[in-house]
Amino acid sequence: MGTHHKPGDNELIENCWVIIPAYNEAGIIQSTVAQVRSYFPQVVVVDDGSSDATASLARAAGSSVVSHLVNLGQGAALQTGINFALSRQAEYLVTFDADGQHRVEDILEMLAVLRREQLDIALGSRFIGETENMPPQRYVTLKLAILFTNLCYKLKLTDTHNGLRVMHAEAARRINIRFNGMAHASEILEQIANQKMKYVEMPVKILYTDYSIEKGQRIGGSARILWDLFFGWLTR
Amino acid sequence: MIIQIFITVVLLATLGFFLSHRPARGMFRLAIVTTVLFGVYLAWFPAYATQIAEFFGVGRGTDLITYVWILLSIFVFILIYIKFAEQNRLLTLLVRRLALLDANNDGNDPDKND
Repeated sequence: MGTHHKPGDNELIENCWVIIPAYNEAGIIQSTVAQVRSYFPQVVVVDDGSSDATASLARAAGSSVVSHLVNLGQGAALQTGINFALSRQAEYLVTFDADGQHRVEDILEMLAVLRREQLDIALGSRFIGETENMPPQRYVTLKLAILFTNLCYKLKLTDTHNGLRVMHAEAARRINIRFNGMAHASEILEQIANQKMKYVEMPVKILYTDYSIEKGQRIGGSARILWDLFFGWLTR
Repeated sequence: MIIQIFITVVLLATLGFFLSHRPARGMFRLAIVTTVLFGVYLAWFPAYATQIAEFFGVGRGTDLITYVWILLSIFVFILIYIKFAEQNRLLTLLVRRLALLDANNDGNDPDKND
């Protein structure tokens, strides 16, 4: 991977924290952290009560680690990571999935646009970009989730459950994730809508590897996302 | 006769447990006591349940009790759900605070071995 960005970008990259929520990702966390750290030195893995070696492997790969004593869910892990990054004076915050489905190069693009256009948050979309090997069931679920979310929050998005986001610290301070489970994805969008944040959706490439597909199904998969969405909507 | 005694004992035991373990507030306490005593009364005089049922336009007393029971269950379910969500929220804040404290104290906290 070449570092072909402009010199002025270095400072930007220094002030940027990449947050990786991880639950039992020992199999892949080291390579994900290494990949991110080839561009971004500031990485925090939020170990969400893993029972495997996720935390120590992440630390060995050069990441900061914040460990939940018990498993709370991805939403809770993200909020913990956001709090941590803000306490370290992050200027830009990135949320990045642990399972290796995102590309670090996409962060650079999103950061550049965010800064150039003075926006609050950039959201990754797999439906603008390329996607490889998406399982059909996942496709249907995601489309339903998108329809539901757009209707509820009056947003116009093409992908509502993408883990890759880049936000400015000001926006991060205004986001408060209360749903610990997967419904946090919609919750963030709800807050973007309610607080009239300036957002942009950008194409990102999702790599549906065997690992990420298997993981995706293990953490509840499609039915779970829809249930969380519905329940989240009921109780909000 | 056996079932009446059984129901009475269970209801009164529940009431006793409730009153001794939960410092319930005035109105709530009154409602619980009234409900339990009313339940005991109905166990001994089921015909009265039928009278009430007829008043509400339900055929039989047993049906009325079933309906009330279902409504109460839903109510209790919602209460428990709210309580549970609240506990979960507190647990999250606690775990998060602890995690951040640990992370800020040092980078070399011992790995979890438990």
